[in-house]
Amino acid sequence: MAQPKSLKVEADLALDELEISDFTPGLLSDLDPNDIPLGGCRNTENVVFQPGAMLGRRGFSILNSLLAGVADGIATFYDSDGNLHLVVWADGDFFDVDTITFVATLVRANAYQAGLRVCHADLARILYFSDGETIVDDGMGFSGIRMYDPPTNPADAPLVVSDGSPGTIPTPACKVMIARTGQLLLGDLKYDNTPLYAHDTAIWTNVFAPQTIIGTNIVRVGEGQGGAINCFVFMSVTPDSGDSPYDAVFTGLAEHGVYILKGALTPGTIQAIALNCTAGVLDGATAKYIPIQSGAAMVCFLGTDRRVYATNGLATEDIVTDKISKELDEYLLGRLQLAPTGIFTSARNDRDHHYILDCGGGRFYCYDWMRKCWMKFTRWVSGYWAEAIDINGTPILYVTDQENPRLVQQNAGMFDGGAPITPFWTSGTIRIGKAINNIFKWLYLRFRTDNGRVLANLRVLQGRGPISQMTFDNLGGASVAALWGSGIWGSSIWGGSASSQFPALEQKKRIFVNELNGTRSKLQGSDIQITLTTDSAEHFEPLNILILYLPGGRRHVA
Amino acid sequence: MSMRLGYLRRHLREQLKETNPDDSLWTDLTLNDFINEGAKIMASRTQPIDTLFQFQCSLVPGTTTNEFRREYRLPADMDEIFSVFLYNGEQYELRKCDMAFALRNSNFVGIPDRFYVRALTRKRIESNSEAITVSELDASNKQARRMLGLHPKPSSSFVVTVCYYASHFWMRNDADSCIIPFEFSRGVIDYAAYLAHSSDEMYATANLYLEKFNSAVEGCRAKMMNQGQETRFPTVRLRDDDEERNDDYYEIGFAY
Repeated sequence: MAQPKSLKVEADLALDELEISDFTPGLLSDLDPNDIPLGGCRNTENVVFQPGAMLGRRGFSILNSLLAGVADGIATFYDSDGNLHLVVWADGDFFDVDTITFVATLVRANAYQAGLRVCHADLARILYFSDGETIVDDGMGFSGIRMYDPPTNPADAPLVVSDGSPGTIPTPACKVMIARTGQLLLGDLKYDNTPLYAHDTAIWTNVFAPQTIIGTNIVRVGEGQGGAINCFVFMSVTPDSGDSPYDAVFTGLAEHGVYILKGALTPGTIQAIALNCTAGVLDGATAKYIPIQSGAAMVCFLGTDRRVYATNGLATEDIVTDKISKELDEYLLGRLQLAPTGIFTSARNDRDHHYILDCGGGRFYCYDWMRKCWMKFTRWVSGYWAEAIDINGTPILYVTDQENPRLVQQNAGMFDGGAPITPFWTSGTIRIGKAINNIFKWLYLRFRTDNGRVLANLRVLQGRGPISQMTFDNLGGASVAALWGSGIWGSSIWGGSASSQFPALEQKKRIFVNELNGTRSKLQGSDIQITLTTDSAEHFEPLNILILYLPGGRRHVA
Repeated sequence: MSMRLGYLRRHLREQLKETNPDDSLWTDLTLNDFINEGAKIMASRTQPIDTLFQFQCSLVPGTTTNEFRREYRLPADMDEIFSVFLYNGEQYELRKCDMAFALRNSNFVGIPDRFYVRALTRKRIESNSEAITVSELDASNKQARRMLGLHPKPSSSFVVTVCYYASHFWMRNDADSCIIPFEFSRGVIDYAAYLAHSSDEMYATANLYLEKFNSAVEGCRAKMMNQGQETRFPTVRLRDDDEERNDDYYEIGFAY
């Protein structure tokens, strides 16, 4: 039988509890702090949300800080011998970067025009690239595209010159490039050295013959409206009706409108089908293919209205409204006012299931496509990204710095280039029952760390009242231990040590407010806001927050 | 044997379940205050500390002959006087009288045979041949004190000895000892726990500790009264009520 609440009881029984064990609602700064659901947060930096835990994000390490200049592009690809290459365009030159020593070797000087973004695609294990403007004649004829095939020509990136077949045109320059069905699909074209642009036009090469471009193999996207093509992303579309899935190329326009290019790359067959979206793509580098659990795919992109959309090729959904749209809009607007041609890029972090939107200036918004929540990272390196896989199959993210001539590996290690990461998480304003004057007594925190500590900060009165601060230390330090214990039954031993992690710790701290006169007072209020952070560079992984409080109406029975 | 401040506070923290001073609602300083308050109240209600204060009658400032003060400031730890003696070649005990009686006959000068006690005050009363004069006890020190008055006004520098129950002194260092009898010292912890829980607004729990404190006070009072009776009447020994209610006692007693 339940204990009547009017009876006098042991103090512990008189207390009520507030427990937060799931943080996957993520960042919800669009909402009024009072409306944020339990586990959601009004502000956070450098924290990753996982079921039952929040985790300090990984840092970055500087691989090469002596590039020729601020890079204009980066790419990874496998050559025809199956070797991974990391290439960088910087200061007008083209470099191949050793993936072990990260020493950049010049492949071709004056390979593009410094300051212009370089687009690239690899077809049949050969890398093709263009800056969309530079069309030159190396003696064999004019071309706007170069190729890099290390096994056959490690010391140069020659032009892809037209073979002159009937109906072909000189190889144009392009701002967007993708490989599909053995063909290169080029968008936002510059036809020859006398400026003749076709911004909304895509053209394709013959199959496995990039040097053969028939002049009539074109499609215009947007029917003359919407601006330049600024992205191609290969995707699979799975119709709801039960029809077979088909592949398509997501195509964004710089002013308004997003399309899919559907059908074989032949005139009259390929179709540009408009998707239901009022926005265009603000920067083509933000469009990224994302796999989702249903087996279909979606493409995430930053719209011209400064919102992030996801499309499965049939419908388009705004995935930031009611979550982070206000702060995202404000930050991007600030960046655009600062530099109207500023770049916004993205990456897919397969390791953590994150779509990373790089807003420039060291600000990142990450969308966890598994948990459908947002996070905010700061102090990573903004720039152009390249995704790769190391010899162990672990995803790697390379970034060329937008502001400095350096190459970094992002999402790796415990430091941001040697500096602590400083993650934090601030809850919404959590309303406590119907009582006005609750007394907050104990904070229990379950967390994992090695030698680190968690700093907790509780605040009442809509996050503007007195503060109670406490530190949760792991004074003894912890080494990684087996995830599971072992059991012995007779001569058999169950359990394993294959998976390991830091052991979970639980500590409790009294909640109080330090007054200026050296005394302490109770933390009282009708609402509470919780902030967790750390001042150490060690492992940060809060698992569970439990607050014990005395409801205002129960103080005479406690 | 007695409990020291540090010991009392450590056990108080165990009662409060907040053993780490850094993670507690109450600082050590605050708990020391609570413990001292408990010790003072317990000492006042059980009066376990008897002590002496001795002074010599002094001249009224500015006078040279036979103008001795009527009133004298008593020690700050004074809780209650139980005897006053005057030495004038021989020691004899003064009788207690009302202050009004003394002032009605304020011109009398001689060998005092009565005394009166004024409760906490900041004024000193003197009398001369013409009137009663009132002056600040101590202009720079606003602390109120008890005053001992003598009647008649002393005619000489007699030595006066005051026997009184002292209030508990303020324990500041962890090594300072509580003077409450050892077996009742936990009452001090109970009172401090009562204050602490009250300040935490856990009144039901606080009241439990108040009951325990009151129980300790009653026990200590009984012991003090018992000691007093035995001192005054050495042939008398009080029997404990509980002891009398013990059937076995009677059986044994009758058998004896």
